Amino acid sequence: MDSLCEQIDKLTIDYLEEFGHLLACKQLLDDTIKQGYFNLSRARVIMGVNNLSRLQYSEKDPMIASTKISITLTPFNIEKQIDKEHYDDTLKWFGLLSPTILKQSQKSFQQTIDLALETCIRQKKILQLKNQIEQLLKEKKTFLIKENFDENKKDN
Amino acid sequence: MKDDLFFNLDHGYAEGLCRGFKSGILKASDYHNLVQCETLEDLRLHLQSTDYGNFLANEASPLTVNVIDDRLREKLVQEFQHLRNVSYQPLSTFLDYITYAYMIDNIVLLITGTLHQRAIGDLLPRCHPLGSFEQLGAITVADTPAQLYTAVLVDTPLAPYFIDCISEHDLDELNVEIIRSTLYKAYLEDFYNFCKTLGGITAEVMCEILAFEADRRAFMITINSFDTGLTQDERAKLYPTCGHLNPDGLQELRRTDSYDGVRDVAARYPQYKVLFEGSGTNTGDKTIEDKFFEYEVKLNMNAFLRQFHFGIFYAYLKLKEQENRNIIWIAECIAQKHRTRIDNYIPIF
Repeated sequence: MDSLCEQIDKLTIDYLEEFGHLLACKQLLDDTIKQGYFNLSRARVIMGVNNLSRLQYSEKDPMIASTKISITLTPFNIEKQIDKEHYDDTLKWFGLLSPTILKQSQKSFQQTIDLALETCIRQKKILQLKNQIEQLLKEKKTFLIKENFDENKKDN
Repeated sequence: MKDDLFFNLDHGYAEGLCRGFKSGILKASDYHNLVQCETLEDLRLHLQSTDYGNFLANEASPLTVNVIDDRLREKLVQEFQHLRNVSYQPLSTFLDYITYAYMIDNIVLLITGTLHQRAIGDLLPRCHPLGSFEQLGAITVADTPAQLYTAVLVDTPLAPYFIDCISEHDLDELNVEIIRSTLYKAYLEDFYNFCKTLGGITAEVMCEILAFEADRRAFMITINSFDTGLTQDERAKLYPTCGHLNPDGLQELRRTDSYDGVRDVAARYPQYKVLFEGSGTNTGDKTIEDKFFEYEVKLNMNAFLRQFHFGIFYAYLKLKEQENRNIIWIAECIAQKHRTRIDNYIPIF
């Protein structure tokens, strides 16, 4: 019984910690995306609004994803594949000598992929911990009911 | 003395107009009001009380930053074309020289647009009106720089600049960038020589401004070319030679491979040392492009302190462009609700 309670306590603390990490991760994701868009606007102002617009990319050619993510549910696994061939092409659309801030913007958006994956993994972990805690709480409840029953029987 | 006595005969009206336009440039208090706007509609309202007046009156809401940019450019083009219409020689040639830079931008815009299979109907309206010429629409038929020259550019004022660019290679991103930079280098050096032949105060003022422009190009080409496919020798061919960096600085720049290397080269020139010291590549710092814009604004404002020269026309155009960049920046910050760096505009007066 004591060991059961200890286990529940430990898992609850882990759960709260992971939740804190998840919130921090989501905040970082939010900030990185905002930073990416911000640097993009700055680059637009430096290069001129018409030099960083839809005129510089082709809507007729089909766009190929440079990063592919595959998720398998059981067992839970996320894989990220980078298509090396087409990786750096997109920045070249806007001119070979684009300002550093545009490159920083691209890096921010690339980081968001990793951050989003990390958020997914943490969320999955939290759900697992939640299930484990609920399981143990059920066990504890049946244990307490059984104890009460035995005690009542003894009194009688 | 000749400048002072005879300038006003031909150019007094144009100079008067230009100085009048210049007094309508937004002041610090106007920017203060603009920065406090919560939406683009507020921005439109505040701009109505400045020299801009009702230039956005006919735009349907919701307003977008692209539309604001187009209207700002239209207004500037109207003013410039009016100045061009009332000018006599040699001022008219001077003003024509200024428009060649926009022609180069338009050519590059059309080439990249065609490379990415954009329809000509999409691209032509986005070209800068100051840089339009008759053969502009024919650019889309060219596949190689040689075709571009023989079919389109040979009858335009840009023909002499193109001699270094003619080749039979296909137009791809590397070549388009090289074409842009080579054309601009030839144009800048030609403009510099033209101003020198004009002599007098115009030469003093304009050569200072154009030398800075040449040095800025050299620095930016170097910094932006790290980690791209551009070799040091190819890069060195793109540096304009009419600046203060010629010849030692350009030699040094040719050999640098990192931002710190560029900073060391700049340290040899006191005016550029200050600019590089105040900037950095971290997210909170001012970028070197911002510092260059600031320095350019200072040079352009100084042009107005002297009288009887053509430099004020160039300076006015560049100051208005900076003002447009400021307004667009403030509009973008408002539209994205990211107001932390909204004060990153460059105040002019």
